[in-house]
Amino acid sequence: MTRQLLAFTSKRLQIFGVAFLILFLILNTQSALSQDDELFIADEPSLIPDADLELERSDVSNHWYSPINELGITGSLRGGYWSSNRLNDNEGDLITSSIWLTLDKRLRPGLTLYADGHIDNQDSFGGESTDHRVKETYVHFRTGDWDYRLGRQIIAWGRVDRINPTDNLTPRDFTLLSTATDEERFGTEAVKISKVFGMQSSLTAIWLVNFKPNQLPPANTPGFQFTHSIPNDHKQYALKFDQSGGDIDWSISYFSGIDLNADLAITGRSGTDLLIEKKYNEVDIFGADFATIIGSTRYAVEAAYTHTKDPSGLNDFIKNSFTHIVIGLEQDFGGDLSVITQGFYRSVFDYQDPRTISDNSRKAVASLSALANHQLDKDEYGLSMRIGKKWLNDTLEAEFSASTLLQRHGYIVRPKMSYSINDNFKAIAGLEYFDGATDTIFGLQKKNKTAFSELRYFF
Amino acid sequence: MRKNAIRLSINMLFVALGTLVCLTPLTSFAQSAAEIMQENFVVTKVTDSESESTFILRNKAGKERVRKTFGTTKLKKNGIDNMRMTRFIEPTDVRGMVSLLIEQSEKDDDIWLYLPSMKKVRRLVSSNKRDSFVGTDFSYGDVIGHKVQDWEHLIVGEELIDGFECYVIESTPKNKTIAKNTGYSKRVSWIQKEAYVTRKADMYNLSGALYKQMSFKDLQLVEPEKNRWTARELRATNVISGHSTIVKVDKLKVNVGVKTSYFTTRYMESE
Repeated sequence: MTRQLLAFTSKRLQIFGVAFLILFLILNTQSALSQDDELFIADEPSLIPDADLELERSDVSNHWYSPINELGITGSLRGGYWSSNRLNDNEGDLITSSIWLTLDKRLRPGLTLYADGHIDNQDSFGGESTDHRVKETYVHFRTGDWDYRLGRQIIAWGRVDRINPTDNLTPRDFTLLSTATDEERFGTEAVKISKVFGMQSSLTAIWLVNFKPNQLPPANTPGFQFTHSIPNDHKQYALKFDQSGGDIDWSISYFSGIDLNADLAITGRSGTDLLIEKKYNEVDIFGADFATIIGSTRYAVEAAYTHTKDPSGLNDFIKNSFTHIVIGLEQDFGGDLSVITQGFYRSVFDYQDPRTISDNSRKAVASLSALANHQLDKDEYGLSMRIGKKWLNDTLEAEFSASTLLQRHGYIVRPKMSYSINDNFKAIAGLEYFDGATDTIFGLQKKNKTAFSELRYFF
Repeated sequence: MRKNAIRLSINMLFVALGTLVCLTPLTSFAQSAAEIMQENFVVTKVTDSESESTFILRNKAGKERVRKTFGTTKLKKNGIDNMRMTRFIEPTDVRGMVSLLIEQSEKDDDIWLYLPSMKKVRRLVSSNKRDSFVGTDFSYGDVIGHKVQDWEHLIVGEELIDGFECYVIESTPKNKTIAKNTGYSKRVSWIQKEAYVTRKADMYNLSGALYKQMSFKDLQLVEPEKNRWTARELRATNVISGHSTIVKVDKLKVNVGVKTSYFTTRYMESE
């Protein structure tokens, strides 16, 4: 109880601290700006959208929500149908409802306040409780060659498509019923400072104040009882040098922090059940990526080496160090048709097959942990692709994405269509189909295969 | 006999002179067509600018979608290549989307897109200029401008458009790749004499059929010393689909000292 109270108080103090810092920075920056307005504005475009109130408004701005938009707030109301949830159970035929809100307010040139989040019910007629998440709340400001972003924020790294070995800083919620995979991301409290060199280069330093793990569909394995152990460690840092522009875009990065994906460890027994703790261990990740365009093809490579707490592979319950590389080609065929094809490869250092462990309990847990962390085999190969096509002046969009493993039978197929009925309404429908052997990450999610549809109203 | 010879000589002289008179303008037209198009290529490239615009996208049934944008441009030091950033402000579905186009005379242009949902800037394949610019009836090639040296130009006549005398110039791609990348087999431009601004243009698709018609209204001389113009209203109609786009420049400031650093991926992400 005392520990819970302390944790609660500590969390409150952190929130208060961040809020105070943001307020201090806003006031401080505004004060500085008022003293040196001319100098600051000279560095920025003077005709800024939010500051210039003389803009002639067309019909689109005469909606009921225009006053809300004037405050920098936009959002969407969503209602949907899902034939299954993403919780690996047998629940289905779900009616979802949610409201998504974004505050994007430019207070001054170079000073922005941003927040976004959603309130949702993933089973509106099934007694599911309403949930909410504040995905981001940060202040961003810029002075000369320096950029600062403070607060809860999403940090998305990597130049290949969707499978990003270097993207390890902020988590995703893979259980959220969202029609767009990018919406699965949510932020972590962080301080991000970037120094820009010339037109194309930047060095970014990040301090992650909190740790939030990925939210994965539960394994629902009979005989296993899971508990969480979220580390209260604030020593998470990252550095990245990035070059964007010129013939080749590239970056190198380093992250020292906590793994977003848990390892599984046996902590005891409860009757016949094994008690298993999801532990988030420290990792050091060295990453690099590059992308270039030659003719009508975009080439991208992204790779990372992850050094874990068990580099020699002696501990069955901590993942081994590994490399992960993705090579991608994006072909633009014109007519708003593009095809992305990618190959991915993971290799585990000092690999030891968990299925050869003699103790059955240890074997079962180590195997499940290895499966969830792509370490069941020493080498894992796979392919992914995404085809995108637009029609009718971008009102109708189709996307077909798929991913498969090469050495084992397992795949996901995800076709999706969306149609913008007008500027306010958008209809989306699609399918998420998993299949594969039970010893593959796709086979594990068979129960999550679903058809979905959603109607969005933007305001 | 001698009289006949003199008459024949005089006749031949007239024929030769006539031929010369007839041929000379054609030759100079062929030369000046490219020069006119070169003047036309740079005539809208102001030193720098900031603008707020309304895009009205209208389908065949008359149903409209409206986008509001904030844009900046800046001419590079070479005086030919432009940098152009467009930030979408309305509607909500596309709010925060930013495109950055950087022209490169000697190679493919750079095109970048920032999608707020992805939280990433993505470089697009730029050799393909025929795709629609964010759902409008203008292609990326139309927005950036078609490189003069990639096309053969010919003056095919002169016409009065909106009361202004215009050259009618027909441009055809120099090779199949340019035709394929732009999606046009022919462009016909009505270029106002002396001012060199485009008053209207017709585009023909790869099958040779009329594909798009464009018009440029409310043209304003915004940098007189450099003969730089801006159209405050641009229209493009896809005659095949019946879809049309009207771009109205609601606010415009020219030569305001926009910094080069604004045209970087850093700025795309940060506001």
